[in-house]
Amino acid sequence: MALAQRKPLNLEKFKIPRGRVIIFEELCKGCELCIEYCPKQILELSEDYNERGYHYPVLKSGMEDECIYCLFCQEVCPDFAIFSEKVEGEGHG
Amino acid sequence: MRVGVFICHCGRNIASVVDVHWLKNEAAKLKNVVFCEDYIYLCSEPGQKFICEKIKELNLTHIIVAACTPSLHGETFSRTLESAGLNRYLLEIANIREQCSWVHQNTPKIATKKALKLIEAALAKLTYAKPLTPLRVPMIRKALVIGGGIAGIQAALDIANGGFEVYLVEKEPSLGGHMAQLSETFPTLDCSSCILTPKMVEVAHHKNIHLFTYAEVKNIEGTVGNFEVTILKKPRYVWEDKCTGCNDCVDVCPVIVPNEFDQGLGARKAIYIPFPQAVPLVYTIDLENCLNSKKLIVCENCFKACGPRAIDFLMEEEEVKIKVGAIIVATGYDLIPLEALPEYGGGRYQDVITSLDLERLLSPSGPTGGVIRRPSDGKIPKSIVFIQCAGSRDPEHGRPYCSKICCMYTAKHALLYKHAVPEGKVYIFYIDIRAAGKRYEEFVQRIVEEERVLYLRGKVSKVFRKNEKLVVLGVDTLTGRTVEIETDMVVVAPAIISNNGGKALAQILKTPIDEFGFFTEIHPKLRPVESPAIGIYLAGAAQSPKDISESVAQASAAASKVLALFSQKRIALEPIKAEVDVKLCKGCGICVKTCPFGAIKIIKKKKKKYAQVSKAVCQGCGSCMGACKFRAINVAHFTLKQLFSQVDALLEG
Amino acid sequence: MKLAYFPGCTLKTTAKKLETSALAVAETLGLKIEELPNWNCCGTVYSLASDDLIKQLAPIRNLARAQSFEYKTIVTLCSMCYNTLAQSNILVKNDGEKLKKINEFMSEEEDYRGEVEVKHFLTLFKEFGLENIKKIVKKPLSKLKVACYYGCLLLRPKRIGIDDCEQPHILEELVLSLGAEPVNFPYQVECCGSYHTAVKPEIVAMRAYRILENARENGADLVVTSCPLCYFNLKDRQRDVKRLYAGFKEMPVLYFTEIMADALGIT
Repeated sequence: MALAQRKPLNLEKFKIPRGRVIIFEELCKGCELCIEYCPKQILELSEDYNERGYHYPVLKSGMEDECIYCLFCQEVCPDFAIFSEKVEGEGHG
Repeated sequence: MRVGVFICHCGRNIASVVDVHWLKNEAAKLKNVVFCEDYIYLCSEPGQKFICEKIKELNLTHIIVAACTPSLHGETFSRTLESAGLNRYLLEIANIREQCSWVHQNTPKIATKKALKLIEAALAKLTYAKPLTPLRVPMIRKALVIGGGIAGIQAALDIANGGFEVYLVEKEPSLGGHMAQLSETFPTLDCSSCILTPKMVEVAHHKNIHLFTYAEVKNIEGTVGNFEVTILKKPRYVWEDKCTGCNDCVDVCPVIVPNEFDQGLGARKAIYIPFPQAVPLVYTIDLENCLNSKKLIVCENCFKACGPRAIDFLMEEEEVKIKVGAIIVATGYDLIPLEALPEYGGGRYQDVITSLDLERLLSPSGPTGGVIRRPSDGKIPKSIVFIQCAGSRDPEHGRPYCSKICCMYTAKHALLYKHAVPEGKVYIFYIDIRAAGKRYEEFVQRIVEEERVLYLRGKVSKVFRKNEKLVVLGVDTLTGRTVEIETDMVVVAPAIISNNGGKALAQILKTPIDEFGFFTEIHPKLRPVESPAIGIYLAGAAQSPKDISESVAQASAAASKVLALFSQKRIALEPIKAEVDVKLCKGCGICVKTCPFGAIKIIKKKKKKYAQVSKAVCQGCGSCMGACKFRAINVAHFTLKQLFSQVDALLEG
Repeated sequence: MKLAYFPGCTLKTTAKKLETSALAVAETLGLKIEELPNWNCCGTVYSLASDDLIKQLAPIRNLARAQSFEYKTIVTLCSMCYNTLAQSNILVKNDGEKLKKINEFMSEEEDYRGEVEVKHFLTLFKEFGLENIKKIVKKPLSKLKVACYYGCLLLRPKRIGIDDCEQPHILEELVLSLGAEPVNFPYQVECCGSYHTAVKPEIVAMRAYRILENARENGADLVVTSCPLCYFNLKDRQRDVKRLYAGFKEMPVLYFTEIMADALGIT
C-alpha cells in the first residue's frame, strides 16, 4: 500500500511535545511574525483589536492543543507578547 | 613473412561439411604460406604441441588457425604462440566452424569454398599485422562496493580482510538492506538481525573499510584499475562524528511520519534512525517532513535537546571523489508495489499486505512488537491466505521469471503464524513449490505435515472485502474445484525486481542490465559474478532474485575476483586500442563525440589541434575509426589497412 | 461529425430495448448517429474457426462498409460486437500482409485501409463529457443505488478494453453523473456464464445468483449492464435462479441506457 495511505500501528509509542500558547493581547503591535512563522500554522489574526488598535494573534479554532512547543513565536516576537508553556505528558500527534 | 596455416577438423564439426584435405592443399598454395596442415583437434594438448613444434622447426613468423570461433579458443592459441616465442598478435583465427561449417551444413561444396575465402581473408589481415605488447598501468588496489545489504557487507569484509581498502556506499541511512527488515531466516529460523548486526558492526569498525551511508554514487569515469568515482553524500543535518545516538532529539521532534523501514506500518519522527541496531548509529533528519526548510528554520526542538550539539540545519550535500581499481555492484532488490496487483485488492484493502510487511509485523522490534495484527483494526487474524507468485511467472504483466525465494518464505511465514496462533487457519495458493536449497525441501515438508497448513495448487482470481473479512476466490486444480475462502488477512508474495537505482546506476557504470532491470553477467553459467565491463563485478539480488545464502556466496565470489585482480600491482591492458595519426588528424572532434567511453580529447600542441586517446579508458570498440572522415584514427590489430585488405580478399574472384 | 452505428444481430431482436434507449439518449445528447447501411453480422462466433483470417472477414467487411460510406468511426452497443470489431481492426492495422490478403479475398468490397475507429457507446458518452450529461439530467436518479456490471468482453483483452480490467469505473462515473449512487461491487467483472446459457443454464443460474447476491449484499437496488448476453443471463435466467435457490428475491436488471433515458427525461 502506498506508504502515505497507511496508518502506523504503533502511534501510541510516539509522544510529541505540547505547549499551551499564552498571548498578551495588549502588548501586541500586529506585526504578524508569529502567525506567519508558526510551523504548525495554528495562529490567526483576531477579529477583535486591542486598545492600541491592532489585531492580535489568536489560536485557530480546533487547534488550541496543537502547539508543539517549538518556542519560535516566543523568540521572534519583538514585544514579548506571546509565549508557550510546556504541557506535560501529552499523547501522540 | 613465413606463414603457417593449421586447419582443424574439430572432430566432425568442421570435417563433415568442409573438405579439409582440399582446403589444406589449396591453402598451401597461398602467398607467403610455407606450411599448411590439417589436424583433428587443434585445441587439444597434442594439437597445441604440434603448432608449437612447427613454429620452432620451420621458423614460422605468422600463424593462421582455421578452426572454431576466437571467442572460444582465441586465448588458447594466443598462448600457444607465446610459448613458442612468437608475439600473440601475429595470430589470425579463421572461423570455419560457427561462420562456415555449422551454418552451411546443407551445402558442403559452397562451405568448403567459403572456408578457403576465410583463410585468404585472414591471411590478408595478417599481412599487415604488427607485434604488440600489452600496456601495463599501475592499478589502484582499492575497491568500491555499491550497496550495503548482506551481499555488499560480505564483499566488503572479504576484500578488507584480504588486506585492501574498500569504500562501501549505501544510499539508506543505515547498512543492512532488506535482511535487516526480516524477522527470521529460512530454513534455520535464525533471527535475521542477530546474524546480520555482527557483520554490520564489523564493517563499521574495520580499519580497511570506509563507510559512506546516506550516500549515492553519482559518476564513474575510467576503467579497470583506474576508476574515478564521485560519491554524493546526502546531508543528514547531523554530524556523524558528534552524534552519540542518545535519542534525546527524537522525544522532542513534533513530526510523526510513516517509517519506510517498517513499510509504513510503523512510525518515526522527522529525525530518526531507521531501526534500533542501525549502523552507523547516527540520526538523520528527513528534511521533506521536518517543519523546517533549507531557507527557514523555525522549530529547533531537536537542536536544543541535542547535548553534543550534533545538529546542523545548514549542512550541505558533499561530493567526495575517490579512485578505485575495481567495483562490486550489490544494490539488491525491491518488491513490486501492491498497486501492481489490483486483482488481489492490492492498494485497495488495508488487510492485503506483502510478505515484507508481514516480516515487520513478525519482527520483535517491529511496529506491533512481533504480534501479527490486521492493519485495518489491529486485531489478530484468525486465518490468513497466502498468495504465492503474485506478479512472478506472469508473462502477461511482463515478468515471466520466478522470484525464487517466495515459496520458502511463505512456508516460513505459515510456520511462524501457526506458532503464534495455533488455532489459526492457513491457506497457501501456489503453482509449484520451489525448495531447491540445502534442507529447504525438508523445511517445507515439515510445515506441510506438522503445521497442518492447507496448500492449494491454483491461482487466485479475486480478493474483495465483505464486511470485516476478505473473500478470496481461487481454484484448487488438484481437485478441479473453485474455492472461496473468507479470511482475515491476505499476504501476497510480490515479484522481485531490481532495486530502483538499477537503471540509473547501470548508465553510470556503463554496464548492461536485462529487460527486467537486473544486472547482466558476462556468462550465466561460468562467470556469474562478472559484468561484461572488466573490473565491475556483481553480487547478490542485483544480478537475479536469490536468497541470503546465495547472495553471500556470490559476494565472496565477487570479492575473490577482486582479490585476484589486486594480486598484481600493475594491470595489463590489451593493446587493442585506438591510435591517432597526428599528421592526418584535423582536430575536428567527431571521434570525441562518437566515443562511448569518453576516451578521446582534443589537445593543442605547437599550434596544432589533434585528438589524443587515453589508452587506459579506450576499450578498442572501433567507433572512432568508423567515424573519422580523414582515416586518421586506427585501432591496433584492426587497422583500416588490415580490414580493407580482408574485405578485398573476400570479394576477389 | 457523423458516426456509424453498428447494431449487430442481438440488438435488433432480443436486445431491442438497448438500441431504442441508446439511440434516444444519443439523440438527446445531440450526437449524429446513423445506422450503417447494409451491415452484416460481426462474426463473433467465427472465432471458433482455427483459420485466423476467415474469422476476420465479417468484421473487416463491416469496417470496409463504414469506410466506403465515409464514416470515420463505428459505434456499437453490444460488447461482443465491440470486442470482435475492435480486435480485428487492430490486427489488420498492425499486419499489412494480412490486410492485403483479406482485401484480396473480399474482392467485391472496397479495400479496407484501416482508417475506421471502433468505439463503444460508453466511451462515446465519456468523451461527450460527463459534466455535460450531468447538466442535461432532468430527473436525477437520487437515492438509487446502482451496481454496475461490466461482464468480460468490454474490458479484455487489454488492447481493446475500454477501461482497466480489474477495477473499471467508466460505468460508475456515468451513473454518478446521472445523480445515482454506484455501489461497491466486487463481482462487477465476474463472468455471467456467457454461452453456457444455451446448453447448461444451471451454470448461468449459479453465476447469476452469485453476482446478483453480491450486488444485493452491497446495497444495490438494481444492476445495470451493457452486454445483451449478460442482460439475458442476469435477468431472464432469474427464473432458473429462483428454481434452484430457494428464497432468492428478484433483482431488477436494466441496460445502462435505460436509466440514462430515465434520467434525461426521455420516454
